[in-house]
Amino acid sequence: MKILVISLLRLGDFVQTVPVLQALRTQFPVRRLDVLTHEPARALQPMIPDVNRWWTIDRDGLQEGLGRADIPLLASFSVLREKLDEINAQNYDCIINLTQTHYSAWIAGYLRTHNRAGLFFDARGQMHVHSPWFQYLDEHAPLSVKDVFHYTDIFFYGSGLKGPERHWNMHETDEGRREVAALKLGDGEKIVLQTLTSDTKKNWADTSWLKCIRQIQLFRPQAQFVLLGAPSEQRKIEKLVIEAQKQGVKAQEAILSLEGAFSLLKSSQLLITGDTSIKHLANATAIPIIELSIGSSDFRRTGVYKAGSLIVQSSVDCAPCPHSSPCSQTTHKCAKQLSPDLVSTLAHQSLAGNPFALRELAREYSSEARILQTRMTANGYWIACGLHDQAPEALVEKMVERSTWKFLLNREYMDPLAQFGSEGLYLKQELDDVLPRQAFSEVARHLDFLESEASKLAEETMKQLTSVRLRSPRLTEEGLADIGGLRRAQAQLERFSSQAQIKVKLIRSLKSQLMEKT
Amino acid sequence: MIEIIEAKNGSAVLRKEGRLLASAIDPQAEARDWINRRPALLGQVKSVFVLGAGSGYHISELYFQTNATVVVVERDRDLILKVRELQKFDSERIHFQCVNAAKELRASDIVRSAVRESFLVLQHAPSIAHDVDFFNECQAQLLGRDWGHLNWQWQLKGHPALETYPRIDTPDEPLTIYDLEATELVQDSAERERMIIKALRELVK
Repeated sequence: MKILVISLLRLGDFVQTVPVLQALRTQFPVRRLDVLTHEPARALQPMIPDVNRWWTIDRDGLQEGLGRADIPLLASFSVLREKLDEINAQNYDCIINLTQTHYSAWIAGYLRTHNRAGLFFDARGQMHVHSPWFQYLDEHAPLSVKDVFHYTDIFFYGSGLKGPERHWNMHETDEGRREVAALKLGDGEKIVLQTLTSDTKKNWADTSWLKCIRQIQLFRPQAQFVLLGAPSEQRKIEKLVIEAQKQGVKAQEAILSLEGAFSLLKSSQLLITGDTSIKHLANATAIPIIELSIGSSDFRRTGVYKAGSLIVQSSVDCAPCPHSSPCSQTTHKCAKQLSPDLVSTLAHQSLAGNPFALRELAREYSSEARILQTRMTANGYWIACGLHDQAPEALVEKMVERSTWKFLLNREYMDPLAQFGSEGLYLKQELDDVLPRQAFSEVARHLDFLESEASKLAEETMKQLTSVRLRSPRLTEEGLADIGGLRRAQAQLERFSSQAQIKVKLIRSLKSQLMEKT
Repeated sequence: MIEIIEAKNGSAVLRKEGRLLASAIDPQAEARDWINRRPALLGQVKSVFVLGAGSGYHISELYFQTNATVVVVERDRDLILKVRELQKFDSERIHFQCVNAAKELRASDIVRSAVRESFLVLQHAPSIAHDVDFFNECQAQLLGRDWGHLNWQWQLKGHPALETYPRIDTPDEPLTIYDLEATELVQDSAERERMIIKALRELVK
């Protein structure tokens, strides 16, 4: 089987697909696994062993070709078509588009195959998704949607993969080791700071970084601070390092390729970052991570995907903001409100391995920021739970909701042997890990409420569905019905009905687990 | 009249009617700079049209730095002979196209074959200074930024003529991807090519 995976966004978005690539290799009889991505992602090639061939598109070049009047109008068109025709000549058995943009959907549509997953347009401009997971992604795209699966989970299930295992199969390279050896960092505790991102809205101010580093040094006088950056960021990083050194901090710049950055992360003790690419590279290492979720950084969709990592986000109404638009505030509120005191103490307590202190810290700073800890649930999805403000009712509701969606989108509920019992058991295990014992009576009460709501909904949607099914043939015959509209309404009702029924079953399963344990 | 003179670095350069056709100091370095100012797609196109034979150093540099077929457009047959003699080009990847008028390009097999695939057009400024109008017409022919030339190129690629919508506001402005998007091909057909135009259109939104 020959599979092509398309990922046509930024570098960080590509790194997020690594567990999908690995699982495609192990769960399907894959003879060849190729990727189509943008040119910058090629820098990852030596580190990702699961990919056979890297097809790349020079997005900047195509844009330049379209924008300059001294370049033939058809130059970008011809270059892109020749590349896509070359890909078409490979006769892929399956093409999976892990990019939710119109640009990628037109490209995915042009490529020929028998099996598809993900967004694509046909020649008439009709949009198709070929998996309920990508439909879900489309429906849950607005930032106003509060609870949503992580993109890695959506890509994983949307590609037809199964199970809770996610492997970040990335290899360290000799080149990366050489780059790090050249830094002569020594064997002591190393704290890596990625102070710059590709989007200024996601950056924390230099003054905040400097204050944070000084304070961590007070807690951990032996620590060495490594300021990581790409070659294009060298001047800014150097300036920050000079300033830190003036203030008596043991700071050193590390201007590295992605291979070098990966080796550095493998040999360091803590990463503090707001950058997506580095954060996801770190998922493939053992390094603990503190993610600063600033500006358009949306941890719910693209947060650090490793159990036990910490995410800090200011408690401001406008966060996260849209990627494409500038900051809507008069000051960079979400970055300013994130205090260096909080981040430095968090870093220290994280290195000290003190969960109680972390919770206390989350409580103390709750008015200005949220601190969340990531979990990989046995149910097979990523979640981030507030360390202080995790209300038991909200948590149980969120997890039941997620499992319901998973059963619905994976069509597991259609299987007569659907594993509702196991799912309930896993849900119970997660609650045991996250919630204190005394919270379980509240959980049980809330489950009763959720069950009654879901049962009512199941009953109501079933009635409506029966009514639509009975009426639609007659309305159609009389020429009174918009057939497309009726079909859509029926499909929507069927989904609501299935969703409510799944939820009822899951809640009952969880309740029986709770009763068994008590 | 074309003369050969010696540049400061010892290389031979051509002078036509008193004007140098390459640097009299270091023509190779000048050719490298010329390539370095190249558009981004240069490494990806199948052919490159070079307007003006100059002293041939820029052609040589282009040949070594890319895998593209190089088509040199020049009106002066003697100059072509001198450049060939000077640079000793023997590769099948380098073609000289001698035409008296830009419209003759349409009849050339080499040009037609290059236009069918991806290509760029690079100007050699010292050569162009000798024959500005001729080279400007050749450039317009090859850029395809007006309907007539665009249609010629489009049909060479094997497609039916583009049915266009009239441009009322800016009829003399060079065509862009927005104009291509406004053709009947993209608006009203199911041709697969429209998908590529649509994808490119997303890049400039």
